[in-house]
Amino acid sequence: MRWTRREALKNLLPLLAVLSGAFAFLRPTKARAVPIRPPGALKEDDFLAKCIRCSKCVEACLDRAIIVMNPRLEGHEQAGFGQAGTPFIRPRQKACTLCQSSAGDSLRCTEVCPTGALTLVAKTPESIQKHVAMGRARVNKDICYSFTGSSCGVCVRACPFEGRALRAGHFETPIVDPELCVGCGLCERVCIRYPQAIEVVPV
Amino acid sequence: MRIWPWRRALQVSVFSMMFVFPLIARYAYYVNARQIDKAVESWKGYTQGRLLAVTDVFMSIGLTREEGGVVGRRPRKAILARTANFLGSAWSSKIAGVSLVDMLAAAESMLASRSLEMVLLIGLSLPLLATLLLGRVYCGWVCPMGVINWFAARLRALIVFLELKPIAIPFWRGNRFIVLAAGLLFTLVAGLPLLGYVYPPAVLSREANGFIMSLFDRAENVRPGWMMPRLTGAIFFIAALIGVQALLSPEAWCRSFCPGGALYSLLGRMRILRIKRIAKDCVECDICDQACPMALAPMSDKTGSQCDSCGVCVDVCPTGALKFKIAIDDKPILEGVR
Repeated sequence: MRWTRREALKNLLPLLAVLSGAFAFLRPTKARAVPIRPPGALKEDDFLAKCIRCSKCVEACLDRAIIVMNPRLEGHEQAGFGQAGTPFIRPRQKACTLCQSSAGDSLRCTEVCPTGALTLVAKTPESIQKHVAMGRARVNKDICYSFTGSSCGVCVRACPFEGRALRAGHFETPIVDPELCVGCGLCERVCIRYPQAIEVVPV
Repeated sequence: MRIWPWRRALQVSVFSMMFVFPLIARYAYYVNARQIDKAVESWKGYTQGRLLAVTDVFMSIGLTREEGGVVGRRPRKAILARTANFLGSAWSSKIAGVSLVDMLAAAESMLASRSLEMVLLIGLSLPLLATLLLGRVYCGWVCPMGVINWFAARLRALIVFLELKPIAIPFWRGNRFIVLAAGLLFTLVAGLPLLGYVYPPAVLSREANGFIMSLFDRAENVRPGWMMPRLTGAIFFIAALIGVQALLSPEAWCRSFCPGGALYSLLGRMRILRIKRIAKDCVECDICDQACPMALAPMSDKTGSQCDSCGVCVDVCPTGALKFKIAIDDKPILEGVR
């Protein structure tokens, strides 16, 4: 096939469009751009590679804790263009309850994930401890009520691994075990202090 | 029997599925939280209330209103088990426990992560089998782009009716293979599935999901009613496709640019469902060639791997000379030719 200059230009335009699009979507490099992913998610790089942005986990989540990342929305500022359409969790809005009150043997979002970006997590403490690492709770001792004189202990009651991942010290002070905390965010969700004295930071 | 009503019915149902499944998911959320009656009641007279009420009726068909021995209570667990059968969209779905993944999505995911997942292969098996045997049937019968093309074609007909003379640029068909190759190469290099951002089924699915979710989010936070939907910039891409197809080049995307269609073409080369021309009936009127949405030439037996088995040529043929046959080549049936 012989190409005239005009024809070649016409046919290379879509290629250029694809290439420039690819550059625009390049992965964010800032560390703070790592959001809290649904339970069972792989490491951020592998997750972004495997996730096909199908929103099935969003639909499957009965707590509606998982939401779609949309860089144009308020509260999604950390999203890079390469993360648009991926699922993430904002524990302060809605925390993951690890499907404790729904039917089934495994966490619903991990059950429906078609690509293995979320590995299958059975609904047992062992499996959850092994596969889930959404983040880790961190206590701000300067503003936490229990650390500043009045005992509270709400976060300790909310923890699904109460007494292990998050246990109460003297005057109900929350003590996080970083080995056992899976980062579900229920403690951040229930914290009565504003801004939150306990928050989940991604690992 | 005409073929196009069945095809349109399937296309339209897949298109509406993209909106209905997120709605069912949202309904399941309210049922799980035991808030469905409150939600319907507080949004009475608004779109959200009506949508939830209709979903409730459909999801409760055949279930007795009884749970835990209490007659009249909504059967929450049975409804939740039922809603779990409707998940996903045109891009990837799980219907009645059967996982289906778009092959372009699977290819991207595998290339970007450079690994092979069993769960992905299971979801891939049914679409792959269908494409190997039947060719690009996904494009012609399932893809939500069919509805968009239909709309663009009507728009183009309107423009012609207004005597505005839309032009028809014949883009080179090989462009779609360039788009596919470049996209997959960049997916491999960047480690991000990028083609999903320009592939209409994926874009439309995400936008539909976002639209339904934002409808209820806004109702929960502000007030019910039709608001500005939270769509992403990708919707401009769809709008541009409609504009280009109406004004510049009909069916340009599916004919010349779609990476998914290119992948299906490649996989469906050895398909066994083909359009066959019965030579003794053919009067060589050229109607089929002009009607073909892919601008192929059924009259001269040049359909090839781009044929998406839409059946338009079979429908328009005045003498019934074109038929779907089980065959492995495009040669015409020469029986009875003098």
